[in-house]
Formats: sequence, structure tokens, C-alpha cells
Amino acid sequence: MDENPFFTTVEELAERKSGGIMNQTVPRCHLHYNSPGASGFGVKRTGSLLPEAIMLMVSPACCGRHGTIAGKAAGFADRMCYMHMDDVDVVTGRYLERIKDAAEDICRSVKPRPKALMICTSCVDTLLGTDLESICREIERSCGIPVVPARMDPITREGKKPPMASIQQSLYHCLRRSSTREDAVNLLGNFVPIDDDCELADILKQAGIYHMNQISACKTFEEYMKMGEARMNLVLTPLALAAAEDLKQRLGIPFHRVEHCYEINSIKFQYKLLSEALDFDCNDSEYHDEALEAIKLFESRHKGMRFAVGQTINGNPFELSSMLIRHGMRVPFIFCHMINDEDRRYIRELRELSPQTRVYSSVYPGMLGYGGVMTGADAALGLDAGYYFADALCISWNEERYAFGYRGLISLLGQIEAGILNPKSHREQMHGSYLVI
Amino acid sequence: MKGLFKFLAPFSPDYSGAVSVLFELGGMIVVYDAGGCTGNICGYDEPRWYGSKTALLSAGLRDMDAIFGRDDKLIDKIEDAINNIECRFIAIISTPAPSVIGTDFKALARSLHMHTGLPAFAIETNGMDMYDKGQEKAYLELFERFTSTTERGAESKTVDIGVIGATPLDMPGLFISSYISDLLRQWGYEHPACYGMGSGLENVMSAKDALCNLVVSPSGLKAARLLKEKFGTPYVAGFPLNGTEEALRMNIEQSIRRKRGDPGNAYAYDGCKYDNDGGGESVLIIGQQVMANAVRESLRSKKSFGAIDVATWFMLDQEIAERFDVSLKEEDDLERLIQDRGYKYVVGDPLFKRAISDCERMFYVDMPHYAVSGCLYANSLPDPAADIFSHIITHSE
Repeated sequence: MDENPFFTTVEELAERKSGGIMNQTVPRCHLHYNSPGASGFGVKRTGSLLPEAIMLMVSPACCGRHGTIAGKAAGFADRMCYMHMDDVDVVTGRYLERIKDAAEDICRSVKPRPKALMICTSCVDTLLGTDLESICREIERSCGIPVVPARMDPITREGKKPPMASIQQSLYHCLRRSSTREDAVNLLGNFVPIDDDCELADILKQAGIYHMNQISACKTFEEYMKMGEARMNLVLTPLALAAAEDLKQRLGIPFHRVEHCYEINSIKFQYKLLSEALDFDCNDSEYHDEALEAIKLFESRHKGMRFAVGQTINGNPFELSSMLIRHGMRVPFIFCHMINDEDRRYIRELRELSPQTRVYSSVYPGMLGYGGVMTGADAALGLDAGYYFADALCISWNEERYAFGYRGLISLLGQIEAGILNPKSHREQMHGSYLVI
Repeated sequence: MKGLFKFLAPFSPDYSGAVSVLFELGGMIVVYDAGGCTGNICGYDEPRWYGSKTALLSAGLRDMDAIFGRDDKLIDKIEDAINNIECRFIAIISTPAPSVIGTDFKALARSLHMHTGLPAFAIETNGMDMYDKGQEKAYLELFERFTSTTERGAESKTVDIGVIGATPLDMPGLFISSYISDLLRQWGYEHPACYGMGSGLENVMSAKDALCNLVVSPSGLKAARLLKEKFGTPYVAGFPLNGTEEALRMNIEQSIRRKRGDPGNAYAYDGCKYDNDGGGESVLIIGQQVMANAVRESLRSKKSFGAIDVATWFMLDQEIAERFDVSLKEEDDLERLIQDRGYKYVVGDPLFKRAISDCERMFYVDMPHYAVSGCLYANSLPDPAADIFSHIITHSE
């Protein structure tokens, strides 16, 4: 084991163009280490957001394994069914004929009867080139309910539409456009409803928008279908861009990308862009001032605190790091295994503030053996970063809750303060999460 | 319906089983997958992963690499990784994607050996079989490849009892290798080796020295038979559960005597006070076969029941099965079996209850099995030394 795991600095990263990133930051160039802290929502749990639907996983049995534990713990196990295939099935393709029978069986026997089915295939069908869409259409005719094609194929992870983007698109497959409600928008990309105290709903009211639809908040399939009437889709994460594009093309719903920021001026800028997109005068000064007061208080208490920031946080690790540094904190470590186009802007900003911040690829094999042994951080944001620092305060701050905007910043600061008062070990927080590694 | 599981989620797959055998042996274990299969192993099937330094890595296979069959890329990645990570061998664990594209694993392993100079082999799992199938393949590969056929010097570690089949997927807790080893030491065996769980590659190399092998799950039976064929080492299948320890001790002793040509007591004490057809209500035990057999023996040692049958979705080896033991394949097989035979008591993983429509009618005793429910019931895994089935006895009186 090397004395130090490999890292690159923010300065070095900022100087590299997309083609020139060293191989440790591009996952396809090396073996992958599965850090026990690197986890996310996963395709199945995301698929389970479609209300009153059942997901039928058509795949080798292994592909459904993590659904056993995550499904039971997170409460979606009873909305998952599995159709296992064996090697003869793969060679002959005979399992394709059984999918329809399986779907009919589910519709007949599962109580309550599902209002929609999601048929999800895996890497095997991606490689075999299975025409899942036509299978779904056929099942739709025989079962009389919407049938959604979905794919959980990590083999395409660095492709144009990785599985977590693809499943976002699948989620909105059933939507139809019957009419337009000028007073409704959809939020796309968040896995759980946005925090109740978030100012976004109030700000949208200034634009005459009183309905902020979120799939994770829909209790019924009928409620979900109303998302098809929205005036606009607000895209909160890049993973939902493909879904937004699809809805624009299919239903004519325009979309606007709202970046999830923590730096107070960036939040203000995002609201300015939103006001332009929705054509209203945005008055956010109350929320802005409240957040400014909170960050100033935090700064006075914790100036100089050293943070390690991971990629599993709810937000962009480079943007969040910039915010912390601007307010007197230090960020010596960032853990990030994929650099995308949106990151590059924040990396350039960060170069001006902290060029020597070390960026570690959390999937690089060289990270093996560093769990709990790294030092130099007082707090770690994100379970992926927290895994490496046994002595640091660990704040999961992941997608299990969606804090956004000015109040999102206040919530984050509150979470750090709460962590300082009542620290929880990394392991304890890992076991308490239902995330998929 | 064939292959349709509406209530039971998938059990640990074969590749998780293979990894569970190799995990502690100091090799680089490369799962030939895109990342999801390794995520299953690390996140759900390998409780030793958190904080571990085991070189368990994903190949990071991508669609274009699979389509164009770029195995050379994998070799490059592994060569790059072994520059930073010390390992004693390289094991490639297959998954559905490389199986579908017909990867030539033997050639891949040969090539890896040529490039790195390390022993390299592949376990040809496909993600469609159960965990025990992968374990079986891994044990066979280990003993065929690493067990020395020559006499070892006095300075080498020796093994007097080998334990095959103990992995976290089969056993009720990570402490189990010490539990079994301690018990074997109490029985007078100084060098027990629980292969793959508490014992290293040196012990595998010394497996020839064992006087007897104790097989604690059916995935170890083929390897035990191989060792018997190659070295004449006898084996006993059993697990030391409360009430069965003495029978197991005597069976091991008897096997060793037989090997030495000393028949000793012709009839080993079998520990069973009661017959299977002793009347009373019937019991179904669902689980890995050796453990389920031990539960059966434990119950029989305490009280007379009607039929006590074993059913399993995993391996059912005929040599250690009783007449009415059943191999389950489909999800609804369990429901049908229970209806046909009218069991009063069922022992099994708590998740199996979802597949039994009138579960309230029977007395269900939870016996969590890691390969079924993973960490969900990790805090209530049965303590083998305790009288864990006393409530069945009490209830049936």
C-alpha cells in the first residue's frame, strides 16, 4: 500500500481539458474500488417512486439481490417482483415469451392490483439488444394498464444515458398532456420531496404557481398523472435532464435547469434565472438575509474548520467546497470519481480559492485500505468522504432529504451543528441508510 | 410460474459465494462486471467488507469493451492495480455480462499469469446460480490449485481438522469460525483450519495433512470428496448445534479411526433419542442443508416429533438427505409443500414468511440465513451453542 493514496489537485484538474483528465479520475480506465461509503439511491428504489406501480425485474437473479435488503429496509420490497432467467433462457431467448405471462400473473394475483407496471431489464438484455419497448407495448395491450420500460444496466454507466438518468426518464413515461395548468410546475430529479420549509414554493407563488409537483410526493397514480399538465419542468439534477428533454419532445413541456447551490450569491443567481424563465419579479431578500445571517454566525463559530467533501452529498462537491472556503472554512480534501461538464465551472472557481485542495477518486483501487486512516479533516460531508476519516465528524447529507435554496444552506449548517453536538459514527450512519453501494 | 418470484427477493448469487470463499486468502479478487455485481457483494453479501483491506475490485466493464471483447483492457487494468496492491494470486469472478458474450476465462487466466507471474484463475459464475454453486467452484479451484501434494516440512503449518463450507453467507455470524475452531480444540484437535474464514492460504496448502474434514455446508462436499479421493482424507458433514455436538465429535473420531484402519466402536453415538416417526406434529426446516440437518438432529435429541423434513432452494446433496427432504426451485414450491404435508412448525429465514399465504396457522421459528436476508436480521442470528429451539419444544408440549 502506498503511503498516500493517489490524488490530483484542484489546480491540476482545472488545467485539464475533458480529454486530458488523468486516468485515476476516469472510472473506465482502471479497476474500480467499491468504497463502503459510496452509495446512492439505485435504480430499483428510484423506480419505486412511480406510485401504485410494481416493478418486474427481468434479469439473472443476481441483479435483484440488493433489492432484497434495500427494498425491505426502505419499504418498497412489496412493490418488486422478479422474473429470473437461467443460462438456457439467455441462449434461447425463451424468457421473453414468459414476460407477458408474468405480467398477467402479477396483475391477477398481487393485491392491490397495480395501476402500472415497470419492466426493468439488466446488462444482459442491453448486450442482447432486447426490444423492451415493443414487449411493453404488447403487455400494455393484454394487461390494460400502462407498462413502462426501464433499464438497470451499469454497463452503460459512462454512456450518453447512464442507468440513473434512464430511470428518471422511465419514471415519467406514463405522463400524457391533456391540458396545461399555468399554476403548476414539476420538480424533476429529487428522490424525496423537497424540505417543507424550503422557500421555493413561496417564491413560485410570486409567479402565480401554486402547485409544485414532485413524483416522490405523489401518493396515487392519478396524482402522478397530473404532472402531465404542468407549465414547466424544473430540473434539479443533471441526471433528470434526459427525462426533461423527453417530456419536452413528447408532451411539449419546456424545462429549466435549476442548479442546486449552497453559495449564497449562486442561490440568488439561480432564482434570477428562474424568474426570467417563468417571467416574474423575484423577491427573495427575506430568505437571502436569513441565510446570510446563518452563514455569518456559522463562520464566526467555525472559521478555519477543515472539511472533506464527498460526491454522495446532496449537491455539487466543488460548489459546496467553494461556499465553505468563501466563508472561512478550509477544504483540504474532495472525493469525486466522475468529473462532468457542470463540475468544470465550479472547479475553475475553486482553483481561485483553494488550488491545492486534493481531489481523490473514491473508486480508484489505490484507495483500498485507507478506510478510517486518513487524517487532516475535522468534518466529512458525505458518507463517501466520511469513510476515510475515523477521527472526523461525519455528516451524511445525502439524497435521503432534499434541502434546497437558502433554506437548504441553513439546513446544512444546522446539520453540521447538530453533528458537532451529537456525533454519529460513519458505520452507524451507513447502517441507518437504505442506500445502494 | 417458472422463474417468477412475487414475494421472495433474490438470494445471494454464485459470484457472492465464490468471493465469500476467497475473501480472506490474500488474493486480488476481480469481479468481471460493470460495477453492480461488485456492489451486491460489497454492500449486501460480504459483512467483512467494511474496513477490510481485501483487494476486491470491479473490472468496470463497459458496453463497448464487452461488444468488442477487449479482455486485453482488463489485463492492463489488473497489471496497473498490482503495482500498488500486494497479492498472492489473481481470481477473476465472472458475472452475467462476460458469460453472455462467451468470454474465454481459461485463456484470460493464462494470459494474466503470463503478464503478472502470479497464479491466476477464473471462477466461472454467471449470476444465475445460487451462492453455494459459486462456493463449490471456488473450493474446488482452491484445493486443486494450491493444496500441496508433497509431504511438507516440520516448519510448515499443519492442519489436523479442516473445516470446509464456513462462510458468512452460510453461518450464523462472523464469530462462527472461532466457535467451531474452539470446539474442535476442546475435542483434542490442535490445528483446526476453517478454510476461508479465519484461516489463510497456508492452511489450504496444508490441507493434505488433515486427519478429517468437517463439512459445514453442502458447498464444501465436492471439495471434501476431492480431498478424500486425492489424499484419502475422510469427511463428516455436520454442524455443532446445541444437542448435536457429541454426535458430531464421535463421527469425526470414528472417521479418523477408520482411516487409520482402527474400526473402534462400530456404531458411533448418533445423538438421537427420538425417531422421525415418533408421532406428534411435523416440522419443516428451510435452509442450507447441513445446518438444517443439524437443526433436525437437535430437535430429535430433545423430543419426539412427526416428520421432520428439510427443504432448500440451495443445494440438496442426496448423500446427506433423508427420504422426504425436498429441493425447492420455484417460489410457489414452498406454499405447495406446506399445504401438501401440513407442517405445524416451520423453521426458516423470516423473509420466507412472505411466500406462505396462511403463515399465521403455523408456528414459525425465525432462523435468519445471511444468503437470504443479508444484514436485515444480523442482530438476531441464532447462537448455535444456545438451545434456540426450546420454544418449539415448549409449544409442542
